[in-house]
Amino acid sequence: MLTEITPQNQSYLKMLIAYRELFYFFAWRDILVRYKQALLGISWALIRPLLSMAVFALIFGKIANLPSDNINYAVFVLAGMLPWQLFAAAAMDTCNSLVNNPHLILKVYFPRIIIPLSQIIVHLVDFSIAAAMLIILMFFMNVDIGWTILTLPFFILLICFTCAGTGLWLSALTVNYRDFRIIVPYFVQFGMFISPVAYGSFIIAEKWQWLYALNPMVGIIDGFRWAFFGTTHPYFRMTLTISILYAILSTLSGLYYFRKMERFFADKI
Amino acid sequence: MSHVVKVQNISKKYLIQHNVQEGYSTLKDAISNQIKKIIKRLRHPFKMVQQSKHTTEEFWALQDISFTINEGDRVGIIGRNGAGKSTLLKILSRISEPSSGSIKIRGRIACLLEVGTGFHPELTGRENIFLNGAILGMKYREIKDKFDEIVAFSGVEQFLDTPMKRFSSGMHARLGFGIAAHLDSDLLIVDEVLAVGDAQFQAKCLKKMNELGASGRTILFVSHDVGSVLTLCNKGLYLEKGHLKAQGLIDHCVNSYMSDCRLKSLHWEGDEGDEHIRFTHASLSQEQDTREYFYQHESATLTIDYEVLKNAPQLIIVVSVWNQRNQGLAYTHTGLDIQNFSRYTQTGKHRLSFQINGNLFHEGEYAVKIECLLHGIKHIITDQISLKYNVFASQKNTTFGHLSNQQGISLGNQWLLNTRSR
Repeated sequence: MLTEITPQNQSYLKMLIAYRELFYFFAWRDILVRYKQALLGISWALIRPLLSMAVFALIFGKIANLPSDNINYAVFVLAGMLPWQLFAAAAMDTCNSLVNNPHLILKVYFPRIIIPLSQIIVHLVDFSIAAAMLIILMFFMNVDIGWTILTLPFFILLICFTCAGTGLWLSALTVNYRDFRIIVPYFVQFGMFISPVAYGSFIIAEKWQWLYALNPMVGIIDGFRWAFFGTTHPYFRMTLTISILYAILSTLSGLYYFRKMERFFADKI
Repeated sequence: MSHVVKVQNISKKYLIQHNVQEGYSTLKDAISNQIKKIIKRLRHPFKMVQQSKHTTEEFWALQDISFTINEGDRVGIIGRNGAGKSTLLKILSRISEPSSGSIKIRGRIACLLEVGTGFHPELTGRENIFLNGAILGMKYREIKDKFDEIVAFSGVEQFLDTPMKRFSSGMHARLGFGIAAHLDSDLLIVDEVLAVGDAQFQAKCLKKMNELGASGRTILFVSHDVGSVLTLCNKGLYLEKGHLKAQGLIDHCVNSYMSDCRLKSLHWEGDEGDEHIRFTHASLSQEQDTREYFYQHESATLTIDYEVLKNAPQLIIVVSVWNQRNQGLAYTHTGLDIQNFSRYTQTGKHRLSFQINGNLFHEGEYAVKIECLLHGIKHIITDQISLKYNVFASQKNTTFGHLSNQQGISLGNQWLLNTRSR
């Protein structure tokens, strides 16, 4: 193995493959640390989404009485919450991932891209646990599971790329501009209301649908609902296209930007 | 022999920002500064308010460094604080990129710029071994295979399942070094790690690095302790203010470094004394070499030039050796040479030479003090003439590294062993 250190480093992919186990180790570390010294341990991964589901179902389903495509409101809201939680948590954690690990960046070399990307794996584990719980819930509540459930891997892949693209941008930007540490949590909070989490995207007035669809999470969340329940509506094709485009473009540009900035991380952090 | 590292003309530039006018750090300061500015404006409406200015200055941490390292070399990087040693290591270990120039490194790099990078306080010792190993670039299988060795080296068996936050800092350092030392690499980069642990740990680390060096591993080592660089390394790089000032054999580099350190003066020139005697020169040197430091086995020759102006039989020249803590170790004077005693004090110019047996001293920093007195009457010279020199362990004997607490003088090396074969 010949390593050349020049301003343009060509062997990045090779390094990434050599360090592939580190993805797993970082994710493993974060999961382990999160539930260390916690009495309920990993069961928090179940309790958290269940609790929010109960609150949402009570407020939006029972009190506000929002429509839910004739599906039990609790599972309807959970199907929307899963991808949103994954995206929100991944955005917040990837954003802080580099600046929270200055010692790793200053004292040891490995492809830095592993740090933000492993954060996504951490939340994907939470996501999988909650998704399994959703399917069990649907089974108990006699919600029909159609063939569309087979498209679930595609949507998981889609949201992973969306998170990766967003995360690469945010993590690299935060190294230079710490403002993003403040902006991102705010946007995440705000973003939940402009995404179809607690309600279905069909309640948006027709003349605003084009604007609403610009949020890439709309297509993804609608996609998950379609995969779980088979419910669809006229704008789904448009919103999904936007989401796929966003995932591809953000990942490619994010990779480019991250690679460009990576060289200066140790000098700037 | 093939080279492992080839560095060509690398430079590293940093931009330093100077905030000329006002540097607010908190919101409160920012607001109060704004208010002050407004008041100033109101009082002097036509005067231009000076804008805050950022000026950036280029700082070259490294400039135009080129060298090659061959397979099996143990290279010591020496230089004063801020000479660019750490920057160079950071570039070689790929943490930061050079502003210009190119580096080629063949093989796997293990770098240890800090002991236990990435240890997580909440995880147990066992978990941290895997995590840290992976961060350093080991595969899961590799760590598993080396696990027992690492644990044995660091001596933390008892605490493997204790969270790292309850570890003492010594255990922390031992485990960190243990992991890095067991990484199979073609190039091991080590920075000042030895500064963390106690003397026993330092000795253990040096011994391990010696073993690695003996097995043909290429090692790059930075330390302020010239003694450990000399015992460990065969090649050296001497950096000063970002420039490579010397490279090649370690003796040559250390020599050049030591001669730049003003504190160690092997020569004294001057004119001290009274109406009886005047001293003009004193120096310490090896028999053949002209190094600025000594190895333990060498004897040092002390040369003193003086002139006796007025014959006085009570005149005595005293030579004494002092250690770093200013404790007198050894002592002699011309009065002990009973036969020739009077010759020392005849009027005229003299050159006095004296051999200081090198085997008498442990490694360390010593001062030779030259005093002169009129016995029973007065001290002519007390503190004016002193020479400082360093003694290092001879390079050949590296097996045992440092033994701690070497004080006083050495009993030397005159062993006699009788073995009766059974």
